[in-house]
Amino acid sequence: MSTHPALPKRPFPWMSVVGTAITAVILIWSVQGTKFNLWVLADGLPNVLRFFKGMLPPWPMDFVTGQLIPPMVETIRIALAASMLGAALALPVAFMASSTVAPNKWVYQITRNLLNLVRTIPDLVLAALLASAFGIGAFPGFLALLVFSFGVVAKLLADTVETIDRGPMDAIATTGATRILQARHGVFPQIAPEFIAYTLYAFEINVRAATVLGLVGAGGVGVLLKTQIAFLNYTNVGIITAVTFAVVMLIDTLSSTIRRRLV
Amino acid sequence: MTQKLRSTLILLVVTPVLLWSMAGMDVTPARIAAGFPRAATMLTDMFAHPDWEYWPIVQQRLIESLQIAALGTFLAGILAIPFGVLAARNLVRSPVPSTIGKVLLNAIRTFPEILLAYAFIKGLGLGAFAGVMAVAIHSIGMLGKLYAERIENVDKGAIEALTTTGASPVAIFRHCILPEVLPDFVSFVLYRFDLNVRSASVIGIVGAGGIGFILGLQYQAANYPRLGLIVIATIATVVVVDSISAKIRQRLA
Amino acid sequence: MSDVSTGVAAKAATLVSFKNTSVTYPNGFTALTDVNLEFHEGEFIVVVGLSGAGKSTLIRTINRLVPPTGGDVNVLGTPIRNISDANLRKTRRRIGMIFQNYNLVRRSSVLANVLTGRLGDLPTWRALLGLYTKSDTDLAIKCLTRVGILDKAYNRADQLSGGQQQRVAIARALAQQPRILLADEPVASLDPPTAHQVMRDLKALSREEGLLTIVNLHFVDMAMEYADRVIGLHAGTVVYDGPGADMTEADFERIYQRKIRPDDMRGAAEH
Repeated sequence: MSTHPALPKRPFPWMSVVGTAITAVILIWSVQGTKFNLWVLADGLPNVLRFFKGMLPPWPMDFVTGQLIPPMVETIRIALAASMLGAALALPVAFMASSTVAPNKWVYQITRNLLNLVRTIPDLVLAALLASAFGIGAFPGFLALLVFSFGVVAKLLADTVETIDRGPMDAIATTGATRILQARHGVFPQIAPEFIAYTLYAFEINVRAATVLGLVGAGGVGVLLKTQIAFLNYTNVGIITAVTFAVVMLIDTLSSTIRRRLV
Repeated sequence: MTQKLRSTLILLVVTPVLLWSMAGMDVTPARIAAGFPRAATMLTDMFAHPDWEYWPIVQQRLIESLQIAALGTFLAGILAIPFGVLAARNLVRSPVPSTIGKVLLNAIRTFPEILLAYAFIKGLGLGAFAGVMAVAIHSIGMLGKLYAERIENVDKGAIEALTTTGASPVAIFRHCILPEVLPDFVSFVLYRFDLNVRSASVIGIVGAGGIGFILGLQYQAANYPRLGLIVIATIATVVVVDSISAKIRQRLA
Repeated sequence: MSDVSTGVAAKAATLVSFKNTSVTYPNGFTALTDVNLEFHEGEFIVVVGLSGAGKSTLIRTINRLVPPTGGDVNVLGTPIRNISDANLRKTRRRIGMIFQNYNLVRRSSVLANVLTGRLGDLPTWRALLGLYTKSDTDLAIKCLTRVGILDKAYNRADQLSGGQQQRVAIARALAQQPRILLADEPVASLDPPTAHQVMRDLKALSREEGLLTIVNLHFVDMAMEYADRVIGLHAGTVVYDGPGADMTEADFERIYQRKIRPDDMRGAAEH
């Protein structure tokens, strides 16, 4: 309390001013580019709402039992198969993509970059391309989500492996075990709960994604959604959305309960 | 021993589930055998000889995608604030508003973005504007949830301190909670922007503007050299946007 | 020292009076039992006791962070047990409080933090827009000068050391223009020299502004060094109330229910 320093000059808030200016420029540019217009929006809103209103009940239940259940089951199957196999493929790659276990820097860098690349491909685009190569149906959808689950699980798992305790692995290394054996017995037991948790997480995302894959012919409930939209049958679109929502919620709840138990 | 038992049990559960889920897929050796050469031809057409003459149109549509993502994300970032406040558990003593908020946000998040795109196309016509609105509404779901969680983790000490000064709840929100959470909100918005650059390139397939629009067009025309250029350009854009946004987010932390 | 304190107490106004105050928490734990105390303008009071003895509860009933469940507390002429939210806020404006963990808005500047002390007196629309008046800003600058860290006014609060952050918190409390200053374990997170510096600052403020200051401390030696009056709590009841200098070993043992140990001492200031 003995010294009384003076009030310094107020520093100019460069970060906020420049940030705001850049944001403003980008927004004006985007408003022009996308022809965004509140009057047009107000004009069109009744039509948008009519679409949603058309989706509301009463819903004919025979549509659910007759047409909706089989593709819904197919969607779940696609998501299940893709997340399980994708996760299995991701396991060895995750080891290669973590600096703790990777045999050398090159393997680490290359797998990391490949994983990043895999995750940039939009799954719907991938599904479309696979559908033209392998023919339409559940199979290309499965392949697309396989790639996606592989990418997600490998990335998350690699990050987890980086944080593990190296002790057990080093202990096994001193016995002269190979790197694969070190990973199997020194690392895997530490990350097994996370591995299952990430697989379930990928499954949750896959169920959501699998519902739209059908729009490009890749099977599941999306195929039905597409035809119902094409026939302007909004009531059925509403049922499909509601049932999908229920299934997704159910799976999310189940899966997050299991995940919380694990980690 | 017990570990071995557990592994066996897990395998006993996993194997039938996997078999069941693969069963309906109609995967025959013939199909796979036919598919790979076709995929190979496609990939060669796409990436060995991309159609560079098509670049001006690709560029124009890519810019449109970025604009859709930027404006849509910004609108969502603003619109999500009241939802986030509503859904946060620690602002009001009653659990009712937060539960309502969380259910609402969950519903928005799960509603397929593609359907939103269809709905806005109905109201606004084909084009980027419908895409902006679909992205904006859909993104509220995730952003509102992230906002709410951030508000729930706000430092209780500072709130307590301001409570003891006799400041009103509104003043506390403005001067204590907001300064603490705002940088993180910006960071969430940037992260969502990354995701929206991806989805803005997808919703175009149904006619909501952006790179997806020509993607759908060329896909239907089976013009793989042009499709290749579109895919390369999209991935490159996503990578660049990701790394820029990651840099800014690091700064914000 | 004791003559000064009793002298002040005799003619100074009573700002806080506990009347048969009890506090039982919702989980059934009784933190205060039938407390009767009067605190006066300009007194520097230190509350000591083991953790769980009710020190924190005693301080927090004064600004009703913890509501009394029996009896009442009269604060600045208002019985606070059953007052409305609006009146509670009005009373709180004149009570500054500082905390063990400083409780600053970490990402805001030091000046912005001090200004939050003015929020209670600001109309809502001004508070919402962050439009402090010129006199608010002048006062905040005066408070920062007072605690000697005006040069940090535009630093982010979390860039400061612990001692500096606690001074910002003191400046924030001063900006309220309080008549009472509460300090809940204000030095528990600080190293000994800084802790003594903060205690000296608090003491000087109390003297110069005639502030009633009530400080919770874990360390008995610090209590004796700074307090005009020490309140010893054990299991929610007052077992000692008198000048710090007069405390005997028997008084310690009544408060702590055991012999004094080295870890009850903070150690002397390294002046």
